[in-house]
Amino acid sequence: MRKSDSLQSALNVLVLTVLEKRGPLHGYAIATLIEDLSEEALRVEEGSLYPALYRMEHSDWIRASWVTTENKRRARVYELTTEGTKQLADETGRWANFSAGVNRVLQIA
Amino acid sequence: MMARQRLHREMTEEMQGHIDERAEALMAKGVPEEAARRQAALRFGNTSAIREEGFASRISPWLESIWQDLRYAGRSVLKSPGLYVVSFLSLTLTVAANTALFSILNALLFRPLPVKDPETLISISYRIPGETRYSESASVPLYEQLREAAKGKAELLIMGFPNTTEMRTTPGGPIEHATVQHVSGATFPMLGVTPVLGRVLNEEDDQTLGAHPYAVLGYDYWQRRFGGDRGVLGRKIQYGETVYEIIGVARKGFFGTDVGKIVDIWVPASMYDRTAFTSLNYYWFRVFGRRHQDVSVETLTAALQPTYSAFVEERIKEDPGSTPQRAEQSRSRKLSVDPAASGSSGLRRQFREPVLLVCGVAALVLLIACANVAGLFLAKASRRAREMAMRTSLGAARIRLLRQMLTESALLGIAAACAGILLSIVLAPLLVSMISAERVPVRLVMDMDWRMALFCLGVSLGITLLFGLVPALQSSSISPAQAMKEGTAIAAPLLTGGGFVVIQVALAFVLVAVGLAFGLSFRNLLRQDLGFDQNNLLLAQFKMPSDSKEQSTSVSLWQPLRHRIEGIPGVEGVAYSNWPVFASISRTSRVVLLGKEPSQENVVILPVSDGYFSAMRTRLLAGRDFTEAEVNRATIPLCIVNEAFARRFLDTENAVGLRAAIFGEASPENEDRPYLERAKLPPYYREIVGVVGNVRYGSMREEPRPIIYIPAPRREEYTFLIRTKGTGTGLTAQLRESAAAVHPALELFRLETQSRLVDDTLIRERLLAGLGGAFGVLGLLLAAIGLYALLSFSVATRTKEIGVRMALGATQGLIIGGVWRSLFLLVGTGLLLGGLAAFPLLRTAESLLFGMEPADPVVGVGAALLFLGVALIAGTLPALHAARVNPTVALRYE
Repeated sequence: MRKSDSLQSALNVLVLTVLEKRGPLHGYAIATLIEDLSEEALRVEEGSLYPALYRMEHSDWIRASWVTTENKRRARVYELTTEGTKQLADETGRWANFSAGVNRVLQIA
Repeated sequence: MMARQRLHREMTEEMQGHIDERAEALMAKGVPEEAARRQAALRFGNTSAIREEGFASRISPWLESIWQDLRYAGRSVLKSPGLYVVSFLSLTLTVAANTALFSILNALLFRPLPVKDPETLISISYRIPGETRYSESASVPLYEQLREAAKGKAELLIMGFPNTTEMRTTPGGPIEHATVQHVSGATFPMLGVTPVLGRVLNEEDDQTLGAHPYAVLGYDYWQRRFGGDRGVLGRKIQYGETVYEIIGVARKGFFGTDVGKIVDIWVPASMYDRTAFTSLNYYWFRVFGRRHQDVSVETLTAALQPTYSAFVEERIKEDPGSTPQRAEQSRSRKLSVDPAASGSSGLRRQFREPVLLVCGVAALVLLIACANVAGLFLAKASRRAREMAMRTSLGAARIRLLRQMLTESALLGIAAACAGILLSIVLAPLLVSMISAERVPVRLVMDMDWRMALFCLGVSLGITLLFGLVPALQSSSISPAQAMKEGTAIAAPLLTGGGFVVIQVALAFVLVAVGLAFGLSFRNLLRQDLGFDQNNLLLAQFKMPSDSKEQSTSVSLWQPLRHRIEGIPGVEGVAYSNWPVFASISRTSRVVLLGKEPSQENVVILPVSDGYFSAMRTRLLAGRDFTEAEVNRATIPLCIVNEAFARRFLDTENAVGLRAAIFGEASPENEDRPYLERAKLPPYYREIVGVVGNVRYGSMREEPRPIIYIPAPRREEYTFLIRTKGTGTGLTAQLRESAAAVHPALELFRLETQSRLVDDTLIRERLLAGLGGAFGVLGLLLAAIGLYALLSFSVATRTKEIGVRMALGATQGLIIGGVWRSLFLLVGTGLLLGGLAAFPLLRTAESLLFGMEPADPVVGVGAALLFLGVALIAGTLPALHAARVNPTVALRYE
């Protein structure tokens, strides 16, 4: 796994997981949710988040639609597709492997 | 582009929403609004960068950037129109030449006949192993035996050779020309050819000799001659002495089985001359057919060979003039069953080699044009090296730059290919007319087919890659740091450009050498002494209908016509003979000189009237001509021989007064007996009264053949040789009047010129010399442009260096010398490579050359000198330009 791949993959896993657990969300909500859930340990850069969203949308892992939020603002919300659910399983497995590997190294070293 | 705008709006709104929400969240925590908004925006970062990424992943990126590439390409064309015009023209011309030649090659060699299951069609030929010439002619007795032997393996039938000839669309009406072919009636069912009107011939029409006077018209001819009139059914036409009834029109697209000819009229083989069906010696048609699916060509050949061998043995036994050598030669000839999916074709045999060669030459020109354009583009690209480097350092992907440059090339390549292909539609028939002879017109079907389509596609892609890829690869590979350093970036393109020029010079040298070789061959052929004066010599064939045989053999017909024509103003001399020379007609026989061994080889026999030699302007070397009185007598045992005859048979002895007999010719009282009987009678000796100079009989290539001239017998038709003061055009009406005045039934059948007949035997050579020369000049021109462009470019990029050198005291001469040195280095290398390629190539084409060796020094040295001359011219301007560099101006920018 190359560096950018692993980070990219991590962001993908996070976004997909959040979408799977919390249903259709818009970009801001995704970013804040990840930050809250990680107790501010992870900070999502918008410069990475949106390109990742667009890429996953283009790959049909997620789909987007415009809705009006409770504070009367139009927002583009994303939800998981079947293809995305499959990808999530794959990526989660891959991520688990990767992080387990990193952990082992950290413990031994 | 609507999609892009919509996307832009959407993304902007989405991101703005995000920023707003974060700002509100911050405000909720007590941050003042203005600070909150600024913080939110700052945190979000560069929205337009994200948008770009959004475009990249959400719009089909190819489509988007191709549009962009095209716009760049368009701008680039506008910036340097000259470059594009030159490139476009040279590519268009060469593509047109290649496509036109390929369409001929395709029609000639590859295209299958448009008939049912062409792959199982076969034709039978007779070949001596190891020889390229072969014969397809067979006699009916042979055919019948072969057909019997092929039973259960193949269906055979007979087919005459399509003959472009005189005929009449109204019996007794005016003479017209059409291509007529005798075929077995079974031909049409076998080939699956159906009628569009009436019926086609069938097996019924093979039944009784002379009893099926029916004609089927070709679709094209029906359209062309009769305007597609459905009323032609039942119309009578006349071919030879026979009146045929039109019974139908064959379906569109069927032109016969001879590539190069389009048959206008088919008539049943059973209507052919009766004697042809019984004579062993009447070789007037070929055997064609269809093998059964499970029988291979080899099996069939093996099955038919014994029958053929037995037939040959039979003939040897019966040949009265048989000698061991002749028997051996006959035995060495083997039968061969040839696949005939694309028909059989004398044209193919004659022009396969030259057309392939010319195609090769044209392909070379195309390569040169590509190298040329590649060189031009390279120069242009390196002028843009800094732009490219700048874009690379700003993050443009290499593949992106590569694609942009390739789009430019593709635009040019495809435009040139399309224009070239369109142009070839005009060019191809023009080329076909170059190989078409008066007596054997060539007509080829050259419609678009998948091979043509594939070729066109291949050419357009091929040239695009050829001239586009190298410059694109080169300039997109320049590293930014390199390009920013003035000057160094140029070195690589210059080297590659030099390589292109070397390739161009090498290929162009090959072209010039080939063109020169064929040009010289052609000149050598033209310089051959014909032995007669071909200019201002009209050939008029007069004919009497065969039902007036008595008149035609009477004394009061041909000589009076001759004298009447002599009286026409502008006519200097008139004589007649059975047929003209250079008309592919010859009667040959072995000859016996009294008291000597019979000749092994055949001698040409030509019956002529008195005055023949003076009309032809052939020198009389010894003895005398025939007199009018001698020719007028029904039979007279005299002859005249030529120099080749005397030299062959008589060493130094004077031929005049000796007696010679034509093998198989009997005394007049035995003339009506069959050939085999006559041949056993004592020879009929003729006294040699004169010796004349040699003439070429049918070809400029072969050595003059021995000829024996005999007084013209009486027959129904003669060709009159009319020596005129000028070209003799416009005499037609007077010739007709003369004929009518002598006898009302006497008809002017054909009028042509001797020089046209001679020209028609040089078609191959003229084609090669003409196209070879044209391509040679084109190659030379392209190479000169390439050379000029490279040198100008190199001088332009080295302006500063030259300025420095001049400032340090280099003279103008030194600078010019420097430019020329690099010029001659390039040209020299190219010439060396070209020389290495040209001579082996010419050796393979040796049989097409004449009067010279493949490695003729004149060709090598001539081509090299020509090149150096052109190189000098191409190099002079850039060199002078370099010499005029003003050091102070050049160095100002340093």
